[in-house]
Amino acid sequence: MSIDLLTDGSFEHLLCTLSWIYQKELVAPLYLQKSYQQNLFSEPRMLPKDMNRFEKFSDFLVCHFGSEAYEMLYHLYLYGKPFSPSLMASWLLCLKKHGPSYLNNHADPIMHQALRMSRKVTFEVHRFLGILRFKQYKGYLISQISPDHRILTLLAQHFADRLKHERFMIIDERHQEALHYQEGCLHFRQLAQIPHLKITDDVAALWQVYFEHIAISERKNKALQQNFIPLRYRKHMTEFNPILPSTPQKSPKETW
Amino acid sequence: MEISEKLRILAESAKYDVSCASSGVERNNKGRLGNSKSCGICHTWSSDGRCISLLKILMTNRCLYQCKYCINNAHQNVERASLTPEEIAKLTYEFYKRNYIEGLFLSSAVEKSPNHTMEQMYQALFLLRHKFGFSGYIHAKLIPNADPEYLIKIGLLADRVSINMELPSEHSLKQLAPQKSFPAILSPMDMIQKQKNLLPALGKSHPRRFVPGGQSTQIIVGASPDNDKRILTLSEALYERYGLKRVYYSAYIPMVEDALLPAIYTNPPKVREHRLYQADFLLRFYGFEAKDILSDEMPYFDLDLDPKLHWALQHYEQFPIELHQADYHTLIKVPGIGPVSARRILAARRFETLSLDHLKKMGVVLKRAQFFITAKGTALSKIPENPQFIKTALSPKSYEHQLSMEDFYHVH
Repeated sequence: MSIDLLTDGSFEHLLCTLSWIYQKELVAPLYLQKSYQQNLFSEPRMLPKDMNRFEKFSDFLVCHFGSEAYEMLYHLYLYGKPFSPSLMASWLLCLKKHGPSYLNNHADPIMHQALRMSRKVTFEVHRFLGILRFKQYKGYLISQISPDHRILTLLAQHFADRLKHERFMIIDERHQEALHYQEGCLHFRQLAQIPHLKITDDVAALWQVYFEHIAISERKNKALQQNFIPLRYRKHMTEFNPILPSTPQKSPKETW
Repeated sequence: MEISEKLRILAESAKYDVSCASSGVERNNKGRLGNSKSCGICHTWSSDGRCISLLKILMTNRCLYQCKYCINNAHQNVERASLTPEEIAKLTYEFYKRNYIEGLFLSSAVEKSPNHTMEQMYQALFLLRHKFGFSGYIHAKLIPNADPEYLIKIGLLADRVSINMELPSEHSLKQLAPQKSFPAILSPMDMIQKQKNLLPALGKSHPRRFVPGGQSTQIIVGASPDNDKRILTLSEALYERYGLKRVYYSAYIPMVEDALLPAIYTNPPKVREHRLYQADFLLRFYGFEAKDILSDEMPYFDLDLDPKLHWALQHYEQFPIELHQADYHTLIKVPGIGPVSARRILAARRFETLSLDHLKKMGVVLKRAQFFITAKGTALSKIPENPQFIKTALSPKSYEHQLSMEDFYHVH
């Protein structure tokens, strides 16, 4: 009977399991525990989570294949649905066989797929550094996003440095995660449910005026605009959503 | 006047300035708010498809000058407004905090005098840096004919500065912008370049680096009869002599009636502008020179073909290129292969014999590249002897041509 390896979904446990695969050079299918469906011909097996083993294997990967490879593995983990631990295992065994210079070989289907997935994650991180919007709410800057991948951890340092004297929260609605920052401390939280906040921000009206008037009407090109900002990202972007002033009587002039 | 009214008028006035880059400076937050990423970050895209990275705005559109091509010139009947330095600084701060923008791009019309305008701009930047503790990206437009003292003061606060060339020849400038001249534009550029080389010698104790993001400029395309070769040669000289980071090209949109300008409602030359940007990239990243791309016999771009493809067809004897032997600099000269795909080819050819499928995965544009490459001596598609065939196959007109019954008569 063949073995199906299971992982609990954490990066630490994934790496512990991958270290075992790496050692044994075992091409056993690797599945996410919560979505695993047992069958008659294989036996599910879950290796223990060992932080010591995780740290040692992390150091080993950075030492042997470079930080670029380690980052790529983390990006594959963040890629999310479809979570593909089996691809990670095949990718790692390929690297073991051919060495670190194989990492950027687009001619190999496994390496190509991994490079593509990693690139999608990094591209989305870069995109969200720009299109993420904060709204001022009770002394906090609040942002709601719905990214395709679990990029919150990769956004954290950038905003923690940029807004180091502010308090902010970024809520990932799709993956039900939140990042909270206050006085130099970053916290990640899993959310049981997404808070529905109705936030009004008077500066948003000024931004909308600017956004509308900076465009050159003679060069209007909505298709090009949509290439850069697909419609699915616009839900949380201030300039694409009309915002009501905080009270009906207040105009931007008075609040300014 | 309400702040939103001022914002509307001054954004409208600033929209023809092309530059939007926020790249070239990597800096952590040294103040209260803001940092800078060397790759630059685009924050949104307006309905014309252009990116918005910086709060691009004029301090004032009240102008003394009479540049004929400009919508804000002294004779135009347009709404006028001015922002105070405090308003500029506060707007930038509030927009930046909400992650609407990556920084400020401050420009201005010439109100009262060049020195007065530069003083106002300096006040705005000083407030932003020192009162608001802003550590993000600032691009400041310098005004020709202002005192060099302002150039230094603003250069120490801004990340990038620029002076617009506006028109590509002295003659055109004299005709269309009588208060501007080549020496008045080029001498500050020269001074910035010299100061930039000089100021790092002051050491780490100096509070700020002088224009760490370098300088850029903008040239209007289509307002004057200057040809493409003239524009590209000028850009090449600017890159070489003054170390410019970017030259931007702006297709002229006729807004002002004048016998010396294209008639109103003439379409802006967008394809020509696009070809200039492509050629500009060839100068900066592909090792081409202006004389390789355009000549006295052919001073204008072929609007149907991109400049690299055009060059390759003119130098057809240098092809095909062997993918398994060519170095990086040879690979990037192949139409359809750029810096990224060239690096991918170099990484992969050590392990595999490359095929069309591999090249497609690497991002090579096979539609163009297939005619110019071989892999281990084998052509990846039929390479025609006559380059004219490639030109016909890749020219957009060949796609636009609709089949008619006449075409079938010709076949028989």
